[in-house]
Amino acid sequence: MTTRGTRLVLACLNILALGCQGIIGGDTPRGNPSNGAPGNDPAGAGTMPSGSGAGGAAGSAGGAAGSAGDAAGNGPGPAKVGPPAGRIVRRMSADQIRAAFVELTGFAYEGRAWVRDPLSSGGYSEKNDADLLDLFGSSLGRPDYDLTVHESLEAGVSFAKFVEDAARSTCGRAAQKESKDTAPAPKLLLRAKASDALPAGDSAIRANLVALALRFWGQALDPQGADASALVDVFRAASMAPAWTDAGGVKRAAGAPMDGWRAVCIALTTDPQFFVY
Amino acid sequence: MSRAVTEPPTAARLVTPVQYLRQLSFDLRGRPPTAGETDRVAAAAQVPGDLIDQMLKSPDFLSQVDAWHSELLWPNVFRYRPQANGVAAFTSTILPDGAMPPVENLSPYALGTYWIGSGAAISPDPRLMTDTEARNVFVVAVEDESYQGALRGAAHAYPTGLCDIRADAEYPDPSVVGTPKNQYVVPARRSGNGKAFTGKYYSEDPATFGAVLPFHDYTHCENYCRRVDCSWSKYETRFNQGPTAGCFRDMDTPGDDPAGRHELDLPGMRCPDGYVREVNSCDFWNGAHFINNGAYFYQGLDVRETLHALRRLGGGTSVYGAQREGWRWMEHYWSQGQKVKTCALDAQERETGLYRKTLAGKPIACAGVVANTRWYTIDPSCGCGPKGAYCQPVVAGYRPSGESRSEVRLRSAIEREPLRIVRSIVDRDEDYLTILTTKRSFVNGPLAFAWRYQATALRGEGFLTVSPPAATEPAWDKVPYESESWVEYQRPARHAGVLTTLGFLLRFPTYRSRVAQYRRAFLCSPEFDFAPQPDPADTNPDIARRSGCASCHQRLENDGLWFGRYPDRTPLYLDPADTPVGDKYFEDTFKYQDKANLSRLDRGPEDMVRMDLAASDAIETCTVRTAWARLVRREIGDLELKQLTGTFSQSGRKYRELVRAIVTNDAYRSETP
Repeated sequence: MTTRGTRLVLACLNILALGCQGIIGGDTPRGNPSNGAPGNDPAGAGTMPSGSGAGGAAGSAGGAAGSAGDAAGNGPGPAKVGPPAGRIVRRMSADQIRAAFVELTGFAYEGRAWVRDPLSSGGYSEKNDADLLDLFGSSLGRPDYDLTVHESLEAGVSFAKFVEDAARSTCGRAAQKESKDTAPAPKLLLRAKASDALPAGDSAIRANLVALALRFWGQALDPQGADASALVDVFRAASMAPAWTDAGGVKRAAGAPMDGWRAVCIALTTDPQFFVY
Repeated sequence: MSRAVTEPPTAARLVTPVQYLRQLSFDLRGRPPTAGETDRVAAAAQVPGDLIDQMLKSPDFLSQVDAWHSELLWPNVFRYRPQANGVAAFTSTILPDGAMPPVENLSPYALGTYWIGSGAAISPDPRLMTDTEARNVFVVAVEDESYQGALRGAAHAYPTGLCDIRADAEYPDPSVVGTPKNQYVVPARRSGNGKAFTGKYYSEDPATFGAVLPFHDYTHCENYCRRVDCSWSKYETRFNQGPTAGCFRDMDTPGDDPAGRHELDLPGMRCPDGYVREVNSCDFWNGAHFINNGAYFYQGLDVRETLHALRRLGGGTSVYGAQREGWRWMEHYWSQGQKVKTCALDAQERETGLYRKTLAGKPIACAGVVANTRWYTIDPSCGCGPKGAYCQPVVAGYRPSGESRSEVRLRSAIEREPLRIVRSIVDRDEDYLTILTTKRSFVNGPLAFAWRYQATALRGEGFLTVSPPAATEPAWDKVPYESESWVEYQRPARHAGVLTTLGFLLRFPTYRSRVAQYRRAFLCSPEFDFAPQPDPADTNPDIARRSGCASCHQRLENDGLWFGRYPDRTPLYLDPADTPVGDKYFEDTFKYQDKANLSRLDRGPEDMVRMDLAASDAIETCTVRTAWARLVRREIGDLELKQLTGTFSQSGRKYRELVRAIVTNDAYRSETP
């Protein structure tokens, strides 16, 4: 999972203007690309047409366009006549990415920054809890309607950096808040308890991972599939890390289950499946 | 309306119901779906139609509509914003440690200066005084002229004006004669003759001189001289002390004013014509040109000029003394019920001035006076008006991005007004295209206040005053300044939806840019995206016909006439009653245009829209294209455009219905690989 996510991020950075759609849609389409399960239908009830499956066959373009790809999902086919068939997948806007973190982790990405403050003498003041994704909205592509008049939806370096920073901050706070089972309205522990640990809690942990993937990505994962297992690996690495001493001599405590959920949350929110739709 | 979206689409790679829900939620509400919605859709394996309805009816959808239309209306008027006369206000602790601000941070607009702060500390600078009484007021004062050196050394383009806020400089009511004692004392060291000098201020006489402005004059330059011609030169003053050079030759004595008035009898205040002028007549810092061109010369009142002239401490010339302006407690419209120390000149609350008259002999409104940057030379009996209505607080320092709360609120209101109009049309499921023609508009607190009191007090780059959307409007009176709620009202007939809002007129500041943006945003016209190279040999002065230029300007010049009553780079409206079509302004501005088109001036932007609507379905199809591109993120196909335009039209051009038709379209529900 981590490897795949990293690969996608790096690939996105290399094709800034494309907003990752080629990668998400072509190479590893939504669903269960690794095990080939036809799993985009969360209920598995077969209510969706066959085209919705992983690497699914690209059919006609709604009557308006030609072939949008070959049957193996290996990218675009012959030159198209007219517009492509479906909707173009793009990155979230600055406001959407902020709203996504707030909704899905329960926290805005806050930090210390100078913010415009009409009540201060110089028009700015330093705040410790500045809403950073809002504050840096222009770096995330938000237009000011002065020099820029269209939202930039490129998944550029700045965007990747802010998303990763936001992920570390908000996921950490969410995990800390939910470290007790009594935390109300949990955002991370949807199907598991804070005390669930590997290996005994494997089943609950996988169920929770599946729930989180549905929530964060809109993807229905097979609990025993490769993607879910990759996320389990992330959880395991963080939650079962032994105590250690870093290069600066600071002793680090051994990992705990909430460290695992924090790491999973970061993995989910830094994956392009989170910030494209 | 509530049909479930279950029909299998024909496009490739259909998204799952949960992914479809995610798309819908982000697009229609700007956020991900809730956990409950996700679970519900996952369990049902479909997105219920009523959930789409809920999204379209939600306040979040209207916020999305705002955002989408921002890309059409470009709501940013920061560069062009109108501002009222500034009074410097520091409404928080200046520096983290509560110290005073560095002098160079003072605003050039600081006509009156006070600081309001919490936890303000005593200034480390002994020349600055602080007042920590009364809700932590934190004020700076000029204690003596030594402070001037500090200000002058700040290398600021505009010397900062300060008033004396020490306790004994409190002026109880600027409408009352004089200072508390109605007198002043020139100390011996400054009197010019080695003796202390006590004088009195003018008497109150509203018909003539009126109230004495609230200041102390306790210093007077011992070398303050004038020559017989009333000019003044700093290079001469030190040596210009004898009668032959004019020094003190016009020294005044109380009560001998030609009009019998009881004037301010400072030594050396009298010009040869017998009037007391003191500084302004010889214009202490700003040169004698005021005398020479007469533009700002008003007999008998020039002494008031000293108030601010002397507040502009420094100015790059020698300063031999500082006169002091007092202060007064005053509640401003923006101070949220609190009283703040306000420099006395600014604290004058008259609505009309005492001195300056119109050509018809009527007093002029102080709001218009204060809009001028040299307002105190026009009529210094004018201040910021009732509750400071004609002024805005400004933050310290001239920083393009630094705005006071008052400035931010007004600018933001100006930017949001057109979006409120769009929002109301969409929310009420009215004909969407009336966003370009409706008379309906809205005000919130700052905007209503601006229309009521500040239209003639606001100024911006290149213009003074703003034409309010109507002469009067009862709805404006119902909105308190602090209110952020928007109240609806109807504008007069000349208005055309978003196109005649102040925000649009300021953001697109020329008739050409207004037409261009209208056609670009609402007709999807690419006609201004490319222009051929002009022919250098073609020097036709009419750019609508000149080679190359004509490709854009043929349209811009002639269609610009629709906006002709809104002059370039102003937020003004030229009323036909005052400026008929045959007026020289129009003849000069539109001298190359086809005269037959001049009727467009009076017909205005609404007729422009109506003609375009009658001529074709271009505005409708552009609306569909724009909405489609925003949601599906690709160019629309001809068949899709035809179908959706038909749906939109049949719905009565309801925007919600258009959006619904798009998000339930197969193309929206499928991904392009």
